[in-house]
Amino acid sequence: MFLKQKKGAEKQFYMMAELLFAAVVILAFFFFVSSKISDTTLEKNYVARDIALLMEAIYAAPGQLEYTYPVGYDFSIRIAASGITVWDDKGNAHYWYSHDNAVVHEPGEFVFAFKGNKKEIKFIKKNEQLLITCSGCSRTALK
Amino acid sequence: MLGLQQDSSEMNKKAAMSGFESIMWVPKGILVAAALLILTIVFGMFVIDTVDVKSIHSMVFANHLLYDKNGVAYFDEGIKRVYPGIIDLDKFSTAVVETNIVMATSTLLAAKATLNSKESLYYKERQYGQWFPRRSIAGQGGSQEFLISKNVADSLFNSGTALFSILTPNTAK
Repeated sequence: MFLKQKKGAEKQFYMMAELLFAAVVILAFFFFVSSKISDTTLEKNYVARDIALLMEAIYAAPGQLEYTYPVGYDFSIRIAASGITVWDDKGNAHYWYSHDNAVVHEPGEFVFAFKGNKKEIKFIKKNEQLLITCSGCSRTALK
Repeated sequence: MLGLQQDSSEMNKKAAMSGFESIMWVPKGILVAAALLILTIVFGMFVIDTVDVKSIHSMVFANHLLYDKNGVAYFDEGIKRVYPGIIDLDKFSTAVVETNIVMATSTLLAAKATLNSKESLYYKERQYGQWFPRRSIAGQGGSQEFLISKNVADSLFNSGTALFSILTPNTAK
């Protein structure tokens, strides 16, 4: 009688352990999916590529030009001759463009940190100078 | 005596059952780990975290060479006017283009432009020769060629065609 009771308790223990194991596995998978959903890698890659293509299009445009690019995300963006780097607290993305040596960038190499409602980068090309300013951001010159 | 023997046999049975259940946990664990791995791989296959802009970038790069006054476009110094689509034959050279248009990372794009099937200029000539796809085998070591044709005129106003062959290695993302 005593042994039968013990055997029953052991079966219950194994069942509970299996349920616990399954719960841990399901939770781990949900955390993985949740981290992928909140991931911003695609958005960062998209913005880096978009700005890089825009830079080359601006170089190709003859004459003067003024263009406002809506960023749309709370990212930090570094525009340099080596390429466009976009990052947030979860990681970064980088994309390159072919830089026109004769066009002078004002103010050189810098970082835009965007936060707020209005997030825009303004490109003004005039007389072989490319002035890049932003609204809704703080700007830090690196060079 | 008989009762004791029965108890002992039941205890042996129980011990055997417990050992069997413990051993059964190993394949169960392996099965769950395999299922989790497959789910993660399948899920990962459907997660898109990058955008392929190679063909667009090749087009933009061809336009950059063709329409930028620091590229091959004809530029009238007197009135500071760029003539898009008109190629300055004096500037249609590898040296001019490679001086004016600079890529910080040189391993992402190489190009060859041919004007009226005669004059050619290279952008990153060494890479172009190395990357040119000789066999259509996909893989890390290969490259993709984008052909772009543009109707142009030279600085003497002879119309013709500029053919751009732009190569991007498959490793460039």
